[in-house]
Amino acid sequence: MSEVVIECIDIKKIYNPGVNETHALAGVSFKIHKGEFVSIIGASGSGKSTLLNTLGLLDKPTSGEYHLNGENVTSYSEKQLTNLRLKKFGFIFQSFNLMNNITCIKNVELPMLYAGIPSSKRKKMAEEKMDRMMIKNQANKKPMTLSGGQRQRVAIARALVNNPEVIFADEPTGALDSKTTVSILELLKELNEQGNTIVVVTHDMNVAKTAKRIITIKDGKIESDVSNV
Amino acid sequence: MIFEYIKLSVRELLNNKLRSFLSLIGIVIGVAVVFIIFSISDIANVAITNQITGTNGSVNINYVKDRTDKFEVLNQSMNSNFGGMGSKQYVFDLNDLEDLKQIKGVEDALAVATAYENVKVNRDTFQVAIRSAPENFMDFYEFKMVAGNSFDAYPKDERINLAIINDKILDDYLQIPAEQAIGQKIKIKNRLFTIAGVTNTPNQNLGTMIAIDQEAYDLMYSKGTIQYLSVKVKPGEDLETTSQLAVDKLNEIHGYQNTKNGYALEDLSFFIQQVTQVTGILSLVMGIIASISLLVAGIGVMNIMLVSVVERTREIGVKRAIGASKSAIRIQFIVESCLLTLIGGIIGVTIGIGVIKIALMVLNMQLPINGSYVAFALVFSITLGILFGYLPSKRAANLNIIEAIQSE
Repeated sequence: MSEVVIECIDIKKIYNPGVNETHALAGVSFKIHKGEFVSIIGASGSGKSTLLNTLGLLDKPTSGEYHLNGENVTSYSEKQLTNLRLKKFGFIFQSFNLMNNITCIKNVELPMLYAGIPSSKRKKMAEEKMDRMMIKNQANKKPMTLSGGQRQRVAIARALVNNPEVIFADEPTGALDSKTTVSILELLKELNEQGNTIVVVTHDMNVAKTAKRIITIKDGKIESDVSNV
Repeated sequence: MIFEYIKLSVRELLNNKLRSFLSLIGIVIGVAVVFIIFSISDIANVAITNQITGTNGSVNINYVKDRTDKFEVLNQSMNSNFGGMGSKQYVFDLNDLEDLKQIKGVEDALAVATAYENVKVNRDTFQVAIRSAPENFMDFYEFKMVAGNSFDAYPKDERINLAIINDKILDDYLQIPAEQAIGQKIKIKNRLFTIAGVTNTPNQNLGTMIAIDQEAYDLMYSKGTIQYLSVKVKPGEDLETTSQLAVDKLNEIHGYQNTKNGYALEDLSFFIQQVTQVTGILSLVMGIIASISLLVAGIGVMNIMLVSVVERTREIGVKRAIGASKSAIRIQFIVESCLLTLIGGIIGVTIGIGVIKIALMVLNMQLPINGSYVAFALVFSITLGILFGYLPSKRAANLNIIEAIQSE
């Protein structure tokens, strides 16, 4: 199998340590390889969102180790983690989370702005990704004027723009109708086939089934980890 | 890079036009007041030094009853400087002039006598200074003729009925071209004079002036009236040393070496001191008001920025998640608050310039707007933006990313 991108070793996340302890993650260990398409599924309160936040380096585990590309990043500083998110990860959210006061192309350019890429190159790369998402003609519109599906495509273009190692999607179809859901899932599948590593978090089995591997979380632990290739 | 942030900030401020505008008002007022304070003290200083240095190399010598009395010396100095009548007693002697001219460094000495009279030209009546013009009067002040001729173009016996007016009289009262004034009759104390010439005004302290021949002046007023002496120092000679020599010589001639009374050089330093003190206090009070206004305005900006941080919590969270560093978020908010205060500063300075221009117009003064004050006001505005934008920007940067994304 290809190289390991993400490795979790006995990750625990405890909220309110001491009194009223909540074990959101109670010892989770698994590996994600390059090119995988993984779904993390679980009921609300199962710990799947905490796991996504931890995987996405938005939150630090209480204990355990997190390795990214073979490197232990568990004790990285906030600044280093931000840089990893910028360079290695792409994020797709349920409610798109686009900046409504700037145009779509400016939204797509945003991560490149933070990466310090010069303006002309930013524009070119943003256009390229938007073209790939088939929304190039919406580039100069404000996100609010677009349909949900189109907006999610803008968000995906934004997630892709720094050529990330892993794309995290948190309920990517949660705000979409069933027809648009299918097209977005097809898009993710396509991106995976082109070599992108994708991690989708969902509570919807139909969505989860799109992936080749399904990890089921219950009470902060992995209940099952099934690959159906 | 910073340009991108500025573009984003402009967009953000435009989205909240009314709010941005309201938070600007305090900054506008504060900056305008600060700018006006600086400019006013400049205007006051220029106005004073204009009066002092307007005497082109000449110094007045007055007679005072008590040379140690600063107020009396000042009072006489003011009178002699600002066109007043000077000493009432006839304590000067025309022979003194010849003695003064002998002193090394003295170019010329003039006996000055001035009276204020209502004069009549055609149907207009107005009050002006009537100046006695001895032989050296025109040369002493370095008058230049605008129209007509000076006294010396006429034989001595004709001069007694001639008057020379300055251009200020044309501007202020007659409002006719200089050429038309020549030959017109002026009635002074029931005597008719013919305008022979119009001069410029080389010294602003001369005011609106009609010069008549010394002999005519003596006929109308008491003979030998001299209110004060004016000593003109040769170019390149030290004004202070030479004028001190002159006044010492006068005191020696008249035996005033060891008496309280005697001749004293004009001394306006006491006056300047007083004026500077008053403008200083005024500036201080206005400065305090402006500081408070700016402080309140700054807190207002901070408040607006804090509200903006709360409103945009989710946006901040998303930006942080997709890789914006804390410093990128901080810069974004500081740029935004700086832009806000800078716009306020620009409007404030513009209003300040407008007020000063109007003031200068009313005071009939010429003074260029000091560029360094404009620069200072603008730099100061930006500094305010950084100062009061820092706390909100820090709060924005330190938001918990997960909580921020989940907000709303």
